[in-house]
Amino acid sequence: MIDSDSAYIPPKLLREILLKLPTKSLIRFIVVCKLWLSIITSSPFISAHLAQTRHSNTLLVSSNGIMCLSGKLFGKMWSLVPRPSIRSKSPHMTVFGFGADLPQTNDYKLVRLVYHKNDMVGYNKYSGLPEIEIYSINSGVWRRVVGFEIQHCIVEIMSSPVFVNGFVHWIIYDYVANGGRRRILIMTFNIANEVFGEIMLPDAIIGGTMTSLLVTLFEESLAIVRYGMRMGMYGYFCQVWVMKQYGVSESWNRLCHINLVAGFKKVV
Amino acid sequence: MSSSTKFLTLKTNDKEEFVLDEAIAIRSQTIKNMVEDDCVSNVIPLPNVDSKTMIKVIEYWKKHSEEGISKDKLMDFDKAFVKVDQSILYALILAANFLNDAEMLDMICQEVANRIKGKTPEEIRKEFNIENDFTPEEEEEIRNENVWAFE
Repeated sequence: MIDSDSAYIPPKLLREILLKLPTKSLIRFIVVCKLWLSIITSSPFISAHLAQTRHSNTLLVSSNGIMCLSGKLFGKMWSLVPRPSIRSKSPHMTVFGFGADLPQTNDYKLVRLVYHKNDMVGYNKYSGLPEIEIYSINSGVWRRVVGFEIQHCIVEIMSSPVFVNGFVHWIIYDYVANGGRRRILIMTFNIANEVFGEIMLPDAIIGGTMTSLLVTLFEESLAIVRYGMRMGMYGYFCQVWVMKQYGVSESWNRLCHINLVAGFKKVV
Repeated sequence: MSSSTKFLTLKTNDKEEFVLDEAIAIRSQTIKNMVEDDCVSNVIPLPNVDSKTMIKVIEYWKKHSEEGISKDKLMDFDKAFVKVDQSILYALILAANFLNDAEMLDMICQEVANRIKGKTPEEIRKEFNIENDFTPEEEEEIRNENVWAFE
């Protein structure tokens, strides 16, 4: 056996090796062959991998039956999550949010919104009530949320959600014009009690286009980065707004306004 | 060496014999069980291990049985120990599994994982001599479902 160029590793030992791989590699290796796919996506394997990586682990990937989490907020964490229960063969858009309920239950939760495509075009093509499901790492299962209607949509190309103060935040817009205009606002999801809510944006921003807004974290506070075109001039500007007191719309404060050098549209 | 030192003779599948202090040999749970069950005659056959691999295993066992050796020294030893050809590494995995030495198996599996983690699926197939048993359509579908959110 020592002289062969390539190795035969029995499945039991292969599993031991795969358990030691980072999630990113596992995701890549599901296409190696059917045996590898079946090992990597089996529930016992996912549980064992999670147990090993639990304390080093968290964002997200959906893949054929597995998803994984990782994230800056929680350090470099990765874990595998089983296949979600809501699956759709028709065109759809999936929106994720992720957060930790560390003080209460020491749990991590993943919320998944599935918007189905309709006949409309542009922003409205994914309007309609999304299906909702929640995964908790402690429970190890996906749970459907029924009886709750989200009346907002998230723009496909929108930035990543951000987890602040126990809530996940997405920038969203109304489906239906409200008092003559469609509002742009922040949708929140409380990781602990699993309730959705809203946070209003500063008045000065509401008129901007959605794709020019990013929700982010600034020194532990919820923040918005806004890009726009300078009035009557060539070039763009960038503003940072910080919500000084969490949940209090009056506390939005413009931290800075920077005129960007010609040619730069976005600063990363 | 105390007067109670017992020696075992281990015989590999290529008929080589290794005489080893029992206290060291029982790092192998397989050998330990045999000793405890009193079913050890003069020679313990190891039908799944060849001599080349056994030399490495014994080198590892002896170092890890040294009295008073520091953790740092052991770590340095382990690092150097796994710097071997792929084929030897795989032989060591099978040997560690057969001999039931969990510590050694864990270390070698970690080394294999470190070596393959950055590879592509194609490189993995070559490395492990795996035939791709997906149809191109199936593979395409799996790859397409591989949607990275948040990135």
